[in-house]
Amino acid sequence: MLVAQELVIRRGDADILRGVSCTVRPGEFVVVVGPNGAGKSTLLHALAGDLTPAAGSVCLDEVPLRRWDARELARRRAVLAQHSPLDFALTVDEVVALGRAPHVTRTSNERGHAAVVADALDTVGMGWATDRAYPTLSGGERQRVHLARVLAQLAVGGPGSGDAVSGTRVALLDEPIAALDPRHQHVVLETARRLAEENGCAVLAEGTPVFVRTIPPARSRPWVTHARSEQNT
Amino acid sequence: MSLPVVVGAPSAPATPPASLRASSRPAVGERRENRLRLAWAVLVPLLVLITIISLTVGAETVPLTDLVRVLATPTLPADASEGLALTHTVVWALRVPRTLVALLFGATLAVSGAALQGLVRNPLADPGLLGVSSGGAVGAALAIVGGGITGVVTGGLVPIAACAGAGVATALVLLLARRGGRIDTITLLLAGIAVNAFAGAILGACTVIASDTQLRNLAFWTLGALGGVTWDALRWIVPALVLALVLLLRLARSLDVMLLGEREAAHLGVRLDRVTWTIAAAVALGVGIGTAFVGLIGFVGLVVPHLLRLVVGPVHMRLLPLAAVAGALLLTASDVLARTVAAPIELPIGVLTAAVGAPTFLMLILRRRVS
Repeated sequence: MLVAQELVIRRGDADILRGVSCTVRPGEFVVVVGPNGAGKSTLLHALAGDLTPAAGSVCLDEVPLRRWDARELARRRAVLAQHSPLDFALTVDEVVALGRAPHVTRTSNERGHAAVVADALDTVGMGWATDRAYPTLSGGERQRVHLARVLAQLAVGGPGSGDAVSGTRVALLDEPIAALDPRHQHVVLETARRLAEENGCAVLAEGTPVFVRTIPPARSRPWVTHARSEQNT
Repeated sequence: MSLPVVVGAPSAPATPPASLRASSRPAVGERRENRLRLAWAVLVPLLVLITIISLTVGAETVPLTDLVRVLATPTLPADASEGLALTHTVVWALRVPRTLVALLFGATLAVSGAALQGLVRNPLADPGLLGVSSGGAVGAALAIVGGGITGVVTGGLVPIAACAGAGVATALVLLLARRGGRIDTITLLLAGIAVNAFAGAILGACTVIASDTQLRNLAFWTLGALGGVTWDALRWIVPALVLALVLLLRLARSLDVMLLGEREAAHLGVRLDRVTWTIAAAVALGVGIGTAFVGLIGFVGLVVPHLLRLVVGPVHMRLLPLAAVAGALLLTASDVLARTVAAPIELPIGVLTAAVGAPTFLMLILRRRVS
């Protein structure tokens, strides 16, 4: 369970988020909706533990984020950013394999990880691109590769993988479908929903509420942020 | 073709866009795997060969049969002939330390360069360009000149001072370039230029106040030479450089994750501060100690990782071990050349690596611009 309490995020003098509280339970699929500049991305970054709150706290399974061991947390919480700065000529499966990094131990088997990677790529419909150079892909294809990386990061591997068996796994996706064509928007949302069903939860930030209607309805609920609406007037 | 938007759409297509399906070239990953195997198959035998050449070639040529016999007996047997005794001294007192240092320092320079480049995600990072090497040289020079003035015995002081100098330079450029948890590469390179210029000023000042013997020692730092390496120096070099190499090679996976970006790496459990300062410390240790005994050697850390990336791609799990081998090969080969091309005069090795490295680097830059 991911719980934020009375969260205040400050940049300079401005409060970007003021007193935000929310709870995401296992199996839930949450969409954060709001206009540009409402603080959707900031909320996601705060939930990911990137930002140190000026007040309030974020806890995953009752433990504050900053008290988590970095690797331990990485097996439970994955983040898909709006833009990736990656511009090295890695192959697609190498990019996705980086998602397995927090799971690699001295005893873990390479083949298990490779299977997880192949699975994740198939799920997002990028199985055909395994061996391609990442920079040759289009924007939408890159975004799906990174989603596959997030899936690989949260996947519970086989025996000896050292994965935690219990506990909530959280995917935080920042506008994951903005760059995609309608068919792949559906694939991504479907993937996120399935992730939520397998004892995980997914939090999406989405600027365009029109897509909320296409989101699979299972236990999903939209939030509307208005953290900054007073300032915008 | 209608595009399904609502729930119940078919799952993703398993086939690529038509424009890509026709491609019959082997894919990037497969080509790189093949080239990786080829690179190992070529570089390792070459390294063995150059090691043997380095042990045999020089002012006194050692025949291969003698070399085997001498290497098999580290302590000279009492009944050995005069000729064999001379060979024994040449191999064990001169050639073995020299070759060992060339191998280790070459590997350290190349792996340090690759690790720094991975850390700042810019292919221009290099111990020489960032001022790490000249920081080490300044530390060593200050220890020599300062020790001469104050009369303090400088035996162990020089390598320690070199290490400290390299450490200060590394920490300085990284701290200057760090802004809000990110390393700004432009600032980093500019800071490197500033550190290099400042180090040049201090080295210049040292030459003015240095005595004649000290002056000769200082000249050696700016050009680099492997000839003066003794067993005493090995007591410092071997542990320091091996430790630096182990520390850096162990970070390969973290460096790979950092290719994704710093924030992404943090999300994947990489502790950025620990990785950054481990690299800084390992590079300062390896390059500092190496520079203290061998002098300034440029371009190995720049050219080797650059060339290898073209062959096997940017993944550090492959790149770093290969860079160690290629760096060792390059510096040892340069040293062999340095003592043979103009024999009996020995060229400074820094002159050679710069003469070969600078044009190679220019070529790589031009090639990069074209593609």
